[in-house]
Amino acid sequence: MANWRHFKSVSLGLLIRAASFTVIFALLGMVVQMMVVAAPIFAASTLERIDSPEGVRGALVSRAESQDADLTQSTYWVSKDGWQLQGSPGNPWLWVHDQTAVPLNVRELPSDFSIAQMVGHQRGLAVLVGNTLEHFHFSQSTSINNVPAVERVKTVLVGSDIVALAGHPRLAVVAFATSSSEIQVVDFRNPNASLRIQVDVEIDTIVWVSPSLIRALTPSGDALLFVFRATDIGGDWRRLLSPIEYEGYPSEEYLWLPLPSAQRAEPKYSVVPLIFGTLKAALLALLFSAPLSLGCAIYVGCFMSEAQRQRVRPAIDMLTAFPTVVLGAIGLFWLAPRFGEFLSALIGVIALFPILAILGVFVVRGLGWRWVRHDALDDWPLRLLPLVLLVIAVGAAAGLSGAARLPGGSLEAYLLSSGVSISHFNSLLVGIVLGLAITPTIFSIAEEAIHAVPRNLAAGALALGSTPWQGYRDVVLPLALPGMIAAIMVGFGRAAGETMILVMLSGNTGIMDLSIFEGLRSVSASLALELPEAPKTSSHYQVLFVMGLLLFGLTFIVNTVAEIIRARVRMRVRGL
Amino acid sequence: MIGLSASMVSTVLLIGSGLFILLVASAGDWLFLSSEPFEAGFLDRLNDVFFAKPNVENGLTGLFPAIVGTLSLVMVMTLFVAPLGVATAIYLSEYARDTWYTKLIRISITNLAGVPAIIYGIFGLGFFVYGLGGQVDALFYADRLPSPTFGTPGLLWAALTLALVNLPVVIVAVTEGLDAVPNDLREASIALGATKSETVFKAVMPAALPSVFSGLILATARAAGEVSPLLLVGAVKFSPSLPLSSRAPFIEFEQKFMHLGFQLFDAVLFARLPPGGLGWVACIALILVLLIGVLNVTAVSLRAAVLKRQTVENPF
Amino acid sequence: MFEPVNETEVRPHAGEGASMAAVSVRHLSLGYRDNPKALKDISFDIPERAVTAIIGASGCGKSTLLRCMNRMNDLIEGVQYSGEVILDGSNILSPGTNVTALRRRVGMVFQRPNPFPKTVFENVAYGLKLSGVASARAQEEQVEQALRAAALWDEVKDRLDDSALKLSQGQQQRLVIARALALEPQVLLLDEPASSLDPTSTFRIEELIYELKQSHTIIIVTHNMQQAARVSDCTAFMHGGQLVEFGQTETIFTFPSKRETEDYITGRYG
Ligand SMILES: Nc1ncnc2c1ncn2[C@@H]1O[C@H](COP(=O)(O)OP(=O)(O)O)[C@@H](O)[C@H]1O
Ligand SMILES: [Mg+2]
Repeated sequence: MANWRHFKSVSLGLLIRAASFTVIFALLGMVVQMMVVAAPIFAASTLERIDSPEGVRGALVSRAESQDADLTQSTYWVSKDGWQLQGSPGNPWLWVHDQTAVPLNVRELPSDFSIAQMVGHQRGLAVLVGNTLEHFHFSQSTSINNVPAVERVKTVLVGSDIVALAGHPRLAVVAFATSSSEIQVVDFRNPNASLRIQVDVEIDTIVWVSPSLIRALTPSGDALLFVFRATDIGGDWRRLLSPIEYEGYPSEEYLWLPLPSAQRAEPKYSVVPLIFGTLKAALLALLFSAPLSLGCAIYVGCFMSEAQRQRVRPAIDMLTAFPTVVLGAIGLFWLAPRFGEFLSALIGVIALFPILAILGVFVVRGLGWRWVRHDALDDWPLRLLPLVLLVIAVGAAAGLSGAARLPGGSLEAYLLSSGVSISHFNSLLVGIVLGLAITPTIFSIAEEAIHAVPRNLAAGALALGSTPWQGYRDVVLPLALPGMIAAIMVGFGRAAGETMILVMLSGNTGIMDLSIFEGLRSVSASLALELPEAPKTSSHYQVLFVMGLLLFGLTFIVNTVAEIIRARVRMRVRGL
Repeated sequence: MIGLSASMVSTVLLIGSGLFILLVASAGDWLFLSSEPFEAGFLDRLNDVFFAKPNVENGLTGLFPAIVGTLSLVMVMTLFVAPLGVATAIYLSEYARDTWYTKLIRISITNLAGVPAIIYGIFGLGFFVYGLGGQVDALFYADRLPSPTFGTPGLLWAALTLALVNLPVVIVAVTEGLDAVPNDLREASIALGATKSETVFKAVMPAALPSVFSGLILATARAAGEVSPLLLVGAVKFSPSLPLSSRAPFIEFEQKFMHLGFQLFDAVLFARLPPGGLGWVACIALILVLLIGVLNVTAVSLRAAVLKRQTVENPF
Repeated sequence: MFEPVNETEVRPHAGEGASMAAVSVRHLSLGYRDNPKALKDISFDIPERAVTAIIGASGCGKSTLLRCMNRMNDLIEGVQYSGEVILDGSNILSPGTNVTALRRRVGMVFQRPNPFPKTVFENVAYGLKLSGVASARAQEEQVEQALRAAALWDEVKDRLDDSALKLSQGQQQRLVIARALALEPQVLLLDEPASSLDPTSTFRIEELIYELKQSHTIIIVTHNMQQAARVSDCTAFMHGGQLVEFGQTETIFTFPSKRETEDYITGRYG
């Protein structure tokens, strides 16, 4: 009998350990798995000689097609996507538009070049002058009248013994062969890391067969194959974070365009606009949520009796019964279509709120309602409910009528006339709805922190003749302040990771604009929208995982710091 | 200032009820009063909204599969979360010794509870769908390749992903419940000659049971409303059949399924709401809110029952 | 059951220094939400510049009675009371009373020392700031005075800027007394002020009470018979929310007129 009980105990213990280790392993393994998926994006580019092209993805293009960019032979050449390149060796190069044939921009190119090749997405030109390789490209959008400019991006020092050169069909990468039978690949994006392979035969022609396959030919016509493997960021993690001068863009920019509209253009993976969007949304949300939730927390934590508190806390928690997808839908279908009016009303309410709320207290007390005894504050929220309703109604009406009196007749029209247009999907709406979503979280944590401070401290202050507000302000709230800050941090983490509201309301435009009337694109929304479409092994997929890890790290760190603060507050309060 | 903070409480309560009233009014107005887009009477209309064939184009009919999908997802998830979460909590608070690494694990799990669900979603896609699913397909469904069976988003993977999202939540809630059980109880049980497992399961667990249940129910409520991972690992706009079957285990684990939250999200993608669309959206939202609300209320009242047992601190 | 004591019966023999009533309690009844008869029709007069002890078994309503004198009961939800507590000729239980001003006149010290998590100085100066003493000089003076009055000055004069939480329990309790004294209250309420202290600290508190009664009216709730006998001039014995007996301490302790009082004092119950 005793043995059986012992056996049962031990086996149950084992079962529990097994289950919990599985869980712990799964949760911690999650991070590792994500790192494993994301890691290859940071791999350096490689160049490798192979015997047959089997297993190398990408269609083979004919030699003739890829040859037509050889400028040394021609004086006139038409590029594929509608731009012309004119000239001859020794003459200035001229870029014109092929439909009108009006020269749009003339640029003096080095006249003493030996080889020139198109590179990248038909917008770039690699020119070998002496022993330097120069990279030029178009930029369409800067100059006035949309006149494209030709700009020199980068100059790379290479050997002077280059015999053949070929530009990568998609990226700013060139491959060339030297007279000493060396095959080199230079990535203009990361020019210090050039790849080279020594071969033992003479090479006189080099061709990109596909974005990852190079074919080099000997004078006798034998072909050598090389595989070029590079992630879309060329193995340079800084490209995720720093501004980049992309082909076709006038200046260095932060761009998130993983699936550019032109099929062969270089995908652009700057995570900065997304991080910017995430922070912007989260901070706006805090702006709305912090006063509201901390106000609630202070009231419930300080002035409510235990019994009442047990009723009101869950009531406020009921806001979590509105899942974020519902909040997003409400924002999208009910608020966004009338955003101008909503905003006018909101401004009115916010402006009137403090005034009327304070006045209202005097009204409530001044009416001499006997039950509002000096310290018994339990019922205030309920008693104030009609008043708040009134404030909201009056404030909204005031806001609306105020807006109607603006020149233009509405807030939108007025803002538009002063040069600000409210886009349908704007950050402000995201902030408001997101703020609502994180209010219960902040409230709950902050209230806990306040409530944890022993009430006899406040009683001490009250016994010295403080008003309830003075007592709590001077004694309780300073102790709870770190806890309240922790609450805000957790709320921030929530807001930064929230997905549905952002997907539905932010417009998902990856612009970096401080204006609260513009849309934004957040990391979370990008993950939700792009990951299902991204091929499993693509750079895009990997970059998305990197962003997932960034978001994970952000929330994890914020939560950890908040947790540490909370633990310290708890220790401190326990000692009182 | 007190007045201001009191008004904040009223404001939050008002916002909550205001949103609810908005949904109820829009849904009610559409169901009872408007004639768009159906001409039929109220009962027929109700029948259309719930039981007619789902309309792939723009919704408006056939919510039933989405409700079934949501419920089966939540149930399958609970099947994973309940035993694993409770076991882990028991391990952490009853079995594991108090060393630095158990502390670390505890803190990590607390923090994982705050990690956004979308992160679990991308893990779910990478690990469950592409990783495990691919393996399962290669081993058991090789004949059907290259079209994937399990190597594609589906009910099982969605449930597993949601389980991961909620495991930390459940573990934290249950651990807190177990920690709140006074040590006297354990000592008394051991002093009476009980084994470890008898102490845990017969003395400690019964005392912590309400918090276990309220934690589980809260997790379920959260799962019902969590849509973002589903964008990656499972839900679809339209599924030709329910994820149920007449044969054991009665749930088709590999099937894609419809989900209330996803339907709501999907309404966003309509270029323009069809006539009556607003009422439709309100209907879905209302059902979701009611579902979660009921779960929340249950959890809260369980917790209130626990709190009632504790004595109130006297401020003096 | 006990008969509610008759007002005239319990009026104490006025002592030499204690000729006038500082506080008069008249037909005071109080109910909590879940204990509607916490105090039942209590009437007695508390002599000025003397120590009045309230004794009785745990839960008989001593603290409740004490909290009526500065309306701290208002903090508790659902409290109902009737009757009068007269201080300086006015009924402090009337709804029109300015309770914050009242609490400045009637200081209170709790069972467990509850210094604010601030410095020693700030603790004592807190009440002063509330009542509008803004100048640093005045504050310093009054803080020193209060700390001296609480017999704490010598121990803390070099540590005024240390956290009050670093003081010993006994010192904390005297600090809390100093905090109350800084407002120069007429009446000082002490709710079992020594029950969480060690004997030495208790002794010091008792000494302090003896000092303070020269200038203050003190009402002390205590569990400890010996303490009541040692420090108080008058004693009120409560039982089950009623005032059973009230009189000069000597009389109560030597010739209690009620059986219950005698039983309690001699330790037969309670
Ligand atoms: N905050 C309160 N709420 C409800 N009942 C209370 C409260 N404080 C005290 N009581 C009740 O009032 C009675 C008297 O309490 P109290 O005055 O604290 O007694 P004493 O100080 O003599 O021990 C007790 O029965 C107690 O349960
Ligand atoms: Mg007491």
